[in-house]
Amino acid sequence: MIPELGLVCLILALMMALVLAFVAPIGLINPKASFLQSLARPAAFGQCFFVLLSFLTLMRSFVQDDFSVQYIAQNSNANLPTIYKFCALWGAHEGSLLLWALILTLWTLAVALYSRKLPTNMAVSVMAVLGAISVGFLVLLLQTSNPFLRLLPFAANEGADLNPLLQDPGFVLHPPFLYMGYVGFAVPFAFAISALIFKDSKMWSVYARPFALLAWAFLTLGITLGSWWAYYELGWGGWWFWDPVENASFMPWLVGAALGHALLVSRQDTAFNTWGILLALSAFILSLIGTFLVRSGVVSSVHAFASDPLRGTFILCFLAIVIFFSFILFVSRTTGHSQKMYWLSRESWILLGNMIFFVATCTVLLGTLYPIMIEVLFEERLSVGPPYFNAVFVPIMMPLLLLMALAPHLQWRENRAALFWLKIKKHILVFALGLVAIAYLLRHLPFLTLLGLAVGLWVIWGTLFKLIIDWKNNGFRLPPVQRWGMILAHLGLGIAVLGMSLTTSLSIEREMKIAPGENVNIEGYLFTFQAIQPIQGSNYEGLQGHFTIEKDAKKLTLYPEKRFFIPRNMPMTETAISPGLWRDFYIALGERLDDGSWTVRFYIKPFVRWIWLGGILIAMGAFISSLVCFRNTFRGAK
Amino acid sequence: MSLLTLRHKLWRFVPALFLGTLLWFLWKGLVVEHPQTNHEMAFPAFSLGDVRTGHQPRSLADLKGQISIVHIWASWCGICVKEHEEWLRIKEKWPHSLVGIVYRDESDKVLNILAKKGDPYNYLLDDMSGSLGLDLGITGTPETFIVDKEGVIRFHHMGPVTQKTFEATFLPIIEKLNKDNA
Amino acid sequence: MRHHAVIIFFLAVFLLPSQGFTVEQQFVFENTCQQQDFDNLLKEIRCVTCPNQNIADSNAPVAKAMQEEIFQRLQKGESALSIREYLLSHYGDYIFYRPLMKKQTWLLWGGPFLMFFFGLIFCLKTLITAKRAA
Repeated sequence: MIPELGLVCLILALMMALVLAFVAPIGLINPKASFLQSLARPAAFGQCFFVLLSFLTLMRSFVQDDFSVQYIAQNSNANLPTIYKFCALWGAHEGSLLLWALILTLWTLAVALYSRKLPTNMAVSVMAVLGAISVGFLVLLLQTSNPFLRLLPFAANEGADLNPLLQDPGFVLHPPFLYMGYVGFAVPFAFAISALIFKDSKMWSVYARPFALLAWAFLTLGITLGSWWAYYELGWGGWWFWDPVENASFMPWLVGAALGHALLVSRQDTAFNTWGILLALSAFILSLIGTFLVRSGVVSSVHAFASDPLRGTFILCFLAIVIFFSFILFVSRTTGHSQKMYWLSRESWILLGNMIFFVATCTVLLGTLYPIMIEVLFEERLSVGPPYFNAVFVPIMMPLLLLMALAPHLQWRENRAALFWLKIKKHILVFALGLVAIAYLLRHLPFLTLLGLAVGLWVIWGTLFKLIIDWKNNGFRLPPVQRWGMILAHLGLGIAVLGMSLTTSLSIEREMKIAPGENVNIEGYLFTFQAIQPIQGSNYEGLQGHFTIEKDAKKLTLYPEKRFFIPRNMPMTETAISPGLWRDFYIALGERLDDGSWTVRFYIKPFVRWIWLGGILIAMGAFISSLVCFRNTFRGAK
Repeated sequence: MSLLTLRHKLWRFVPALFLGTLLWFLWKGLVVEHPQTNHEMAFPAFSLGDVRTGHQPRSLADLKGQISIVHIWASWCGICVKEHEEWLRIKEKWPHSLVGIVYRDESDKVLNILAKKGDPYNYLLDDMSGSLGLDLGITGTPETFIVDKEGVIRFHHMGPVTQKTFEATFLPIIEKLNKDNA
Repeated sequence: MRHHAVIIFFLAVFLLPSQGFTVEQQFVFENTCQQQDFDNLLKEIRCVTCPNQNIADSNAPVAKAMQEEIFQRLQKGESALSIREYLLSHYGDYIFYRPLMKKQTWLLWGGPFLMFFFGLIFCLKTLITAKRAA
């Protein structure tokens, strides 16, 4: 009964979405039917309500172990801990698509709540575009990915269990935040489409900006969580693999970063308007491309959902329609007039930075799709992995990192070179001295490490210098809240870059064969394998190792585990990490050998936490900017 | 429309072209059949012992002279163990030279399975290190090869084989090879 | 009393932790050059059984077999280049995560830098026309 209710709710939501997308806009076209415009807001509320209800019914069925529903039988188990029964909802294709639809309707709701403060035709058209996207996804759900399908008359006795890799706290947070991010880019997309339809050159960017920043903030957090989770879950000490699915989330992030900056400039400069529209369209289109890549089976990835050509075809058709309409509008309705732009100005540097972001995105897209291209054209198999991406992505991003430390010192419009030099002279001088000192102290490190260190410090110092200048100019008080967005975000990126380069060069890994009672000395730390004992969980049994790490009278204890999940007949390694600001200790159990000893991997990873601390700072900065933007843009009732 | 604006508009079509190509590749990627790397390769040289005790070691010379089906498997591979019964029936129905390769496995576990379920293999090579598997370019277990009289691999099948698959895909190739020889 | 001593003696012998003689590191080379080659190869070679992992990170049997094979070949003094040739001849291009430089991958390797170049031209053009429009 309850699952059927869920299905009915989806159908009702679809009807609401159809009204929103196709009925309400009639009011814009036909002046006689202008009352139809007032249907938009209620329809937006309605679709959100019904999708939420549908979502909750599925969740209830999960928690109640209703194995007559096929999706639940495939992804859950009676012995699964309750928290993971909640998350198992988004553990596979159908449920995660329902989550996608829910988050889309939530963003539409957010726009609807602010709709009274927007010009009417913009409000209705933006919600209509969002409604149209909802229609696409709800039809996809109902036609090809119904999570409420029943296994009747023979309901399963027991579920196949959630993939053990996903039975982890990281799984509670990572998908929702990620989806909030790249689904959220539908909002600036809708604003851009509205701007193209009504040939509005300015206001769209003002209203789109807070939403774009908020979506980007969520995406930053989602990617950071994903990287951190992969690090401790997969057992190899890696935090980014340029996997196609990772790239699918990274490309909208890059474009989203460019978009945030472009919308900042759009208010001042209409040349940026065209550019801003292009970025807003691209961000969401990349989200859709990502959705396609993940669910269609064209790329092989550890993350990919089980592939089904029918679903892939459906998503591709939807993607094609979106691309087609976006570009017809873009080509026919943008003007491309530009105002005077000075070479030495904040706008021109942001333009350069945006160009770099865009080229970097195209590079990642090229690398991700190249195996498909080669297979289609030459019937050969090719792999494009981390060696390629690292070799190509890093040099392209370097100029961006160099620019971003100095760009905040530039004013809008014209800057006199002499004055600019005066401003940044101290910054560069201090940096150069500091760099020489550090390079001398660390001269034994490889050149690339020092380069990464230098670039990270350049960005950090540049941002701090700007903070100091602002503090001085503000009468030795803290700068106003709107500054903090930029400062935290730029600082975060510098810290993350520093972490990435240091951990890549300085990490130590040893794979050892070791028995209980034995110890090994790695870089001055004494790792002792104390004991191994059996453990039991609700749906697994396993062995837990007890290790100690000692140096200079300080001692740490770690408990890595080897779990065997009974329902899926699958072994899993549960790593043990001792996190630290300056270094992580990381131990993963391998296999038990015949003589009672184990293969164990020991890692010492310096500065790896800086990567995620940096990511969190970027997200914080983006959240602050977005909230300030919401307050400023929507202040006062219309 | 002045010439300048026309050029401006033409430039706008560049991204459209790019996106059209992108969509075409995504579509093709969805429908393309994964290439079967069926380029013919000589069976690599080897010199391995038989898993079963009391049997002599074998080399490539033993393989030549007749059409053989070479099947690589292991006792730790669940699918292979399930598939074993299929091979027993295949050997009964269509007796051909069936050579097994045991991949990185323990001989007592293998002998256990053979004792319990049956032994369809003419001989069973013990690839302890896995280097024969690498020479053959395997991507996992189970995999099966058809090798002709001169020791050239004519067919490489990845994944388990059922009687139906054997009848549909393997037999036609074997029959063709027989005809070519006669 | 003597009984106790004997029991304690036997317990001590069996419960004392064994010496660290059996602790050994997997895949150790004396030559740091070889160690470097080994680490690099393991990160660049794709695990053929897994959806998307290198053989350093994979638990699959074929990956392990490759690790051991590479280890032994390097120990015997074989060059990294020759090992790559060996794997290439038996598996094909796709086994390397770093795409080989050939006609078909020209666009892959050159593309990003070409795009960067065109991007710069675009920026310059925008700045120049912006100035002219003023």
